[in-house]
Amino acid sequence: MNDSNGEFESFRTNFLRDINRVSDNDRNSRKRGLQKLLDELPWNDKNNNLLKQLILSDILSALYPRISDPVEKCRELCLKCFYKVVSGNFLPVPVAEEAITCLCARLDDIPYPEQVEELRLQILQIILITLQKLSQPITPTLANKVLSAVGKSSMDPFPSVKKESAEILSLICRLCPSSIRFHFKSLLKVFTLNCSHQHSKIRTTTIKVKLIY
Amino acid sequence: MKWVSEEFESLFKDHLQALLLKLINDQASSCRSELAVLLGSTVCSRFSIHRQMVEDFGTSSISTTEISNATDSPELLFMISLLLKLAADPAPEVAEQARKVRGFVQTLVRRLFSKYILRFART
Repeated sequence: MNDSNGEFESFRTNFLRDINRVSDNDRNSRKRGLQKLLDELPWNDKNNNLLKQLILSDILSALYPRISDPVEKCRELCLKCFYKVVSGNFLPVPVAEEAITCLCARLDDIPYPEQVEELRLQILQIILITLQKLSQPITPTLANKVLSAVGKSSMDPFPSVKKESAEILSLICRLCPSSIRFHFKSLLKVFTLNCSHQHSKIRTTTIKVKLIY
Repeated sequence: MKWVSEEFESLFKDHLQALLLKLINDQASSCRSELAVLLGSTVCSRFSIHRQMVEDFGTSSISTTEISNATDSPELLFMISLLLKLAADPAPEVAEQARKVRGFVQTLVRRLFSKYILRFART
């Protein structure tokens, strides 16, 4: 037990400086901290328990405030780290749900709290991959949060965001169809608009979402 | 959303019907093809049958009670009419998607039609 604790402490020490820099007041320091974490953590080693432990104990709490960082580059790097975290399957279900809730908040208003369209797309990609990897059925509360955010992101002028939103909706329709009921009316209005979109791919992706069951 | 509800009926009249009519004339065949898939699945789901079952085993047996419940659904009849129209689409990929469930739809039409005839004969 002591050995594994010691092993974790020495692993943690290697990255503690960069983790602390992520919360620094100086924007360049935050940027460098995030970049270093992105470059130097062993993200590809998906069975690395030390990394999993470090993510849950230190990294996530440092990343959450950076989702709404005033500096665009910091938000971008933070989302890249998040993408690595969720695609590596490092999150237990309650933590994944918390992460989705935080990310949804960046889309759940108009004008969007996240102003950069590429970052909105990145947020949706992270939500999609997290939902796909959830090992438990999605709870109605979480489904409602996602549906509310995705209903708004479906109105995004950026076509790729519309497409990604439709993919997420399609998944929610499969995972938790009963939650659609409360959002059906608003979603239908957005979908009617998207079905008239000039890109046929957007129209096709919109039709693929099976709202009725 | 479950499509057997009063709320759904009004939404269908107000929004969905016009949307489906617009989509059936979409210039992109990929959209019409996706619409055929959607309509096929939706009609099958009305009878709690998975579309794949209908595709794999042809016409499934539908109980008389289920037919009776569906007879008064203008939404179902509307979707069936769109599916039959898509089965004659000039684009082969669209027609193919609609024809995958055509046997099932035709059986439905026959059963619905005979029920109407019977009802008409009684009055």
